[in-house]
Amino acid sequence: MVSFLNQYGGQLMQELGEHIYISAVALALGVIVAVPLGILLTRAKKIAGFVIGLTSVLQTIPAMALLAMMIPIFGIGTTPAIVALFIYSLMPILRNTYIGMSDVDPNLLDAAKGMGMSNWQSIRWVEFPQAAGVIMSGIRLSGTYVIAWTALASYIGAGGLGDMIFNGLNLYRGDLILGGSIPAIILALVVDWLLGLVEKRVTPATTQEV
Amino acid sequence: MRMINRMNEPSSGTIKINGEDVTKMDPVKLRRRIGYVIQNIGLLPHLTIKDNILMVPKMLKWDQKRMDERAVEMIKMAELPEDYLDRYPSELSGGQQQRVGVVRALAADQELILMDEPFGALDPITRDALQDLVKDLQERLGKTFVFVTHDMDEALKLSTRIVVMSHGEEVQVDTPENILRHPANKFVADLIGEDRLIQAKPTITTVGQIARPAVSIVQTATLREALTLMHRTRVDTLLITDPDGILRGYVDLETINDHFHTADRVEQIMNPKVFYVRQSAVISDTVDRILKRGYRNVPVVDNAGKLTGIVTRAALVDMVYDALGGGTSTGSDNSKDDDVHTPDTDVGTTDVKEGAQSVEKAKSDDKEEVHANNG
Repeated sequence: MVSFLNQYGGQLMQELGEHIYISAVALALGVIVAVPLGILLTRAKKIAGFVIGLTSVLQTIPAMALLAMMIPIFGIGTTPAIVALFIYSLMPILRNTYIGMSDVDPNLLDAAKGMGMSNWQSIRWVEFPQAAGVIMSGIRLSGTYVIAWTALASYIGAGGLGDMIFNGLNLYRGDLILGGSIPAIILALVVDWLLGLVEKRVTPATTQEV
Repeated sequence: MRMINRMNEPSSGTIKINGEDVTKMDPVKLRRRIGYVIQNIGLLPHLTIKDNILMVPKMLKWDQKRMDERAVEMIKMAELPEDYLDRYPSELSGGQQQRVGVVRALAADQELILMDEPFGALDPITRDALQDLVKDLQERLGKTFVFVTHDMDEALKLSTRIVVMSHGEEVQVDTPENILRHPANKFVADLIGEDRLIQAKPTITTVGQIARPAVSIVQTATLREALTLMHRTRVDTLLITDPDGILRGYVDLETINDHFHTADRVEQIMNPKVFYVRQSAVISDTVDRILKRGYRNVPVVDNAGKLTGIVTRAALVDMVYDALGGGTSTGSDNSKDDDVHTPDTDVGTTDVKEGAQSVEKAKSDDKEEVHANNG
């Protein structure tokens, strides 16, 4: 263990950094696109089914295939990996945003509108706070997916912990496989836990904190 | 009703508020001028009671200080403790939540308040309390309420005008009194119900009919003048009016005593929060509230707010006694009872308090009487 860390410690840290970078950028892009899109879809219910269906279809493309499909468009390296992972992250966030926003008690919407809230105020003060917890759990789900799939991205030269795992596979080196996958697992768990905390934070209080 | 604040658009006809056609107004601005109370309450669960109450003022961008004051004023109006402001809706009972729902509709001084079966989901006791609250607020604030209900008792109790609707058509538009007396057709009569028609027929008395002259003084009078008047008329509370006779408040002996050397005019020390009733109010709707609130006497005003008299608890006793006398024994009781009016009961005395107790007893007798009739 110690000798493994002595030998590969530097490489491990670098690959972990790359891994976090790729996952974070892909997830951030996913949030930036999917949350507003999900909110927008609640105002255009006619096309909502189609758009959400489309992201579900994208989700069904095998990960390796999607990564491979990026090469003709973006070449190899970090960019195609981020684009592919971003596409994967869309579906859970989009669906949860849409469901969360649609599931808000219609009485609240009626009262909000009746009091004179504009569409935007209704979203900001009523629907979004009510849906925040559900949206965040979608982001959390996407977060753990993206971290897992980032390991595959090393196949198209994106770097990350996948490098070490694939090296291990090629060389029949169990220690390298574990050395790559254990940090990836830990990373996924830590991110899941952190996003869980955020989820709790953004779910609005409905009782006084004692 | 939902067409008034343009939650639904009218397919034909026009709706005007103070002469302005609502369909020509910006719906968002229009709705901010109209209070809206729905059956399902619709408080935002993630906001405190305070933030819920202040929703419309916040939209209208009131400054923070004004909003803070308003919140306190409103929670008092809802007859809830002030520390409820920091609570969340789920921590309140259904009745309390709807109290907040009602004052939320008043928080930005809306001119018109729409209530869509607001108390339908509440238990009878809570509903009764909220009806009293709404009636009090309506009389005190003089606002227009449009109230939709299926409960005829509720309609008769709260309204000054009732529109009876059936299949989208107006069947009858009239005061509760006239609807009881002259139902337009069988539908209305059925809606009112046999019992209420019988009860309503013999005597529908308005507050004005049993009111007596009130002892009042103009607000610019000095404390000495007030005291002299109290002494002369043997009362311990004076009603205060402005020079036009509009009711402004009241002052009692204790307050005068406390401030005799620090103030010189009654308007400086008067209590402006005075509970009053309109002379056109139907007695049966008013009695309950007067008794429940425990006032010894209640000023009566006309539609302009001008003081026209006072209803004492003793007068209520007489009234109930009259009503029961007419129903259970010979009519001679009535004339005898008229002589019982004593001129100096403007102020509650122990006699009057005993009287109040007998009023409640008399009322329960009354109920038994009705049941017996039904049986």
